[in-house]
Amino acid sequence: MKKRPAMSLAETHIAIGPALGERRAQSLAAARRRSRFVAGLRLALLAALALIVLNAAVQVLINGRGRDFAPASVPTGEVERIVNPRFTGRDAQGTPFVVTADSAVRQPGGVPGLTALENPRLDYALLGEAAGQSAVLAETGIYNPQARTLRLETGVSLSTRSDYEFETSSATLHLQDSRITGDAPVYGEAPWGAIRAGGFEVRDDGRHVIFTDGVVTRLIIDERAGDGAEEATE
Amino acid sequence: EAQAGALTPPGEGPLDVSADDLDVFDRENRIVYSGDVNAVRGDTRLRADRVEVFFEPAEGAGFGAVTRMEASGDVYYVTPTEVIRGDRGVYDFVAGEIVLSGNVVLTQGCNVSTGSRLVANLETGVSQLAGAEGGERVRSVFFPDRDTQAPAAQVEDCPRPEIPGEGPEPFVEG
Repeated sequence: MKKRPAMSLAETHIAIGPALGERRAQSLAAARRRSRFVAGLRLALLAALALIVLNAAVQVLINGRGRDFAPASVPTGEVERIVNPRFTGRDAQGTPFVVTADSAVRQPGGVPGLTALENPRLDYALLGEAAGQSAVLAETGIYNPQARTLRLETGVSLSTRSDYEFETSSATLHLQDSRITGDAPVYGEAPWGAIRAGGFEVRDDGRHVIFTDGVVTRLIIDERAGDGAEEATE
Repeated sequence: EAQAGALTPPGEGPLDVSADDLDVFDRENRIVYSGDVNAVRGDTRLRADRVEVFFEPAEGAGFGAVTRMEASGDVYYVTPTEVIRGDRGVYDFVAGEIVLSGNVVLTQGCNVSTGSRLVANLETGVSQLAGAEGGERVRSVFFPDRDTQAPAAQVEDCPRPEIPGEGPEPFVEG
């Protein structure tokens, strides 16, 4: 077999030039295709990440709003029962109040936020420290967060920080303007005696108390007047 | 000025007051009854359209002893033996004095006296009825022989003045 003579470098370049170039072009194209593929993957990954973060944010938003008003709510059939409910707010002067109860029930379709309470309690300056968070105010109550009223029903027992006590069958605490009203017969005890009346109202932060619809009072005079009179005549 | 018979002082025990409405002003140690007010203590009664009761301030905050009652509007002071009517009345617990003023009419059995101001000192038992300054004088009508009659007979001949309103409501304990 006849031996081809050895090619010079230039001739080899010329001979294999086009093949090499072609192969380089092919590998360059492959490399470009691969980098486009990787870039695409990267974009897809970023998009997936963004979607996950967005979904998490939306979930937090949906759940977060519900938790302030009704912690640990246990749906029972159509009504929503809240265990150890706790509603907080402030009156017009900025004085805080906390409404708590053994349990609360919210009727579907009712006035938004209206909640029926069992053994409602209220921690609020108007009711004085003695009451504090533990004193049950009535057997049942209805809290309206929009109007900031707490309607008490059945076995209502209230006291104010200026030492007035009221026992009646129904009363309403108007937390917005620090007032209490009752339109049912009431028995009350005051620093100066005892009262029976057809209705009552506590205003002016407990400093102005009104009894209406027929009032009968008993003022205890003896021991006190005696002291007064003796002092005067000595 | 004329001396009237000793006025019967209010009895002992609690003071029961009934009315249409009651306003309590904590900061001023004052409570205000309005609307057919009847205050009863023992067997004496004060009736008026409006009665304000003032208390001594107690230590810290709150109400001490009752010091004064101010009545206005058709005021009647009623005891088993007399009925006194006036436009205004003040019962000063500390001084032990009742003052009625404005168209005062004092009825004791069949005896009736009129004037413009009656001051009764419950401690000394002395009561003085005065006429208006430079105006109407004290006038009295006495039936001496009636005084010997039994009270029941007197009432029959001289019925007591009618007192407006529904009358006092009893206070029912807790």
